[in-house]
Amino acid sequence: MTQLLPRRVTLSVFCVFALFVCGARAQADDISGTINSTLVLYNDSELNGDVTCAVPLTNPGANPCISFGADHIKLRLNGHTITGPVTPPTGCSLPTDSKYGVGIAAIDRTDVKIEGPGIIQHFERWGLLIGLTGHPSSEVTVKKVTAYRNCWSGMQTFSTSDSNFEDNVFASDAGGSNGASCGGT
Amino acid sequence: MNTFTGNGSAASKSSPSAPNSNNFGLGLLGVSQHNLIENNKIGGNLNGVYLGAGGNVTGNIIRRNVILGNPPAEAIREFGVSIGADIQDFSPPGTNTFEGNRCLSYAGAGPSPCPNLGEHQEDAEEEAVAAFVRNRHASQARVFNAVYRLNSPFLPKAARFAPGRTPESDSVTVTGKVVDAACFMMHALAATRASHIDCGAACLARGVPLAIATDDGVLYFPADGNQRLKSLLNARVRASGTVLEKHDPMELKMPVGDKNQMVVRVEGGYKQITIQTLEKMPPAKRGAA
Repeated sequence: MTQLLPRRVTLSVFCVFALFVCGARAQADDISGTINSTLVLYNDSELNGDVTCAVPLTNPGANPCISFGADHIKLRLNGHTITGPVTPPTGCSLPTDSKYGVGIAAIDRTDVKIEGPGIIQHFERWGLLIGLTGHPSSEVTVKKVTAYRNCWSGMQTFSTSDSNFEDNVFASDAGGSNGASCGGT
Repeated sequence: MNTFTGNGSAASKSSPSAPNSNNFGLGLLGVSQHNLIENNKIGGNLNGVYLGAGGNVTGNIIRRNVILGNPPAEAIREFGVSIGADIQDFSPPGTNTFEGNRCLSYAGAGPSPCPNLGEHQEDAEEEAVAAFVRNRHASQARVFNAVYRLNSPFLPKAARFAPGRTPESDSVTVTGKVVDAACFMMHALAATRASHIDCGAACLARGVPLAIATDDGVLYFPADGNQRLKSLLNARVRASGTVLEKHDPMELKMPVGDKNQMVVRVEGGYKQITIQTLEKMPPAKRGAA
């Protein structure tokens, strides 16, 4: 039987003093543990552990767990999970609520990136919020991110342009939108 | 490619009397214009793609998506078939473009792009690769049988060679593409694309062997190395000469960076052609079968 098999190709890669040259990476802020008030990013940042969000809904509008506070920066999830405080449909936001929780917000921002793999789940409205009416965002990249079981949409975009959303998974979102038109994205 | 799956609740409606859920896998709402929605997988949501009302969802192109299984069967059973659709369209008729999507159900003012289960490009490419591999394996199996079956019609001279000797064919003519052999063995389809020519030239400069890859995937390595083929990389050629069945393993080596080396080891034999004549051919035409 073995003789009837076609030619077998064995690929070997020998790494002698494996020298994979990586560009010098700017110092990144590490994130993990419990976040009790909105964490605003001003530098490239990355998760080095899972994150639990317990941000109280104190401000009118969006109360994100993590928010981009500068342009031209990125957040790497490094395979970790960001978990909000609710399990749909329990605890989900009503359309009439003036204060609501979201996972990650990029509002009034240009050239910011959210890079997975990683999961954003269990938020009162949206897992990801990109732009708002009157507060546009542009050149936003969301890549390899999974938005799972958020009450409203996995990702919501308003006034967003020239952006790239690629290789993401939006699963089982909008399980508690209370009449709002929502879904994966 | 994004994946949208299992999103939405049947309980969410724009009004209590609305027949359909207003939840979705992917939604275009409010003012959503001139967007490209392409190559996504959208299944198991209350609605697959949802184009909102209000007249400002226009000029979008939705193409080559797989939009199936929206809503899931359980939701249809519980809430009726009108609870959702693969494409739920409240935009003005004809203001958005649907092209080559796989979908079954459509709700809207039309024209309906569903049902459509036409050939999906991704599947076509996968099938092309699979057919190529099947042909290559089948071809090799025929040659192998010819060597060991004395009555095989495929290699009659083989019977006249004593065991242990390597059979050499009469003059044969092969037609195929000149490829970087190492790349071809790892990813045949990519190696034969025009876009690979720069990469192939870089490999050639590092000494990677070239070969003629026939349409059915058989590689013929020139007995005199790359000398005659190097100016014909990625070109279609016709070569005639004698072919030798080599049974010893062959290693194709190439440097990767300054200090690394990649080795592709070919076991089970290969074909070596002593080229007598070589001519460049026009590119093969790709037509319907």
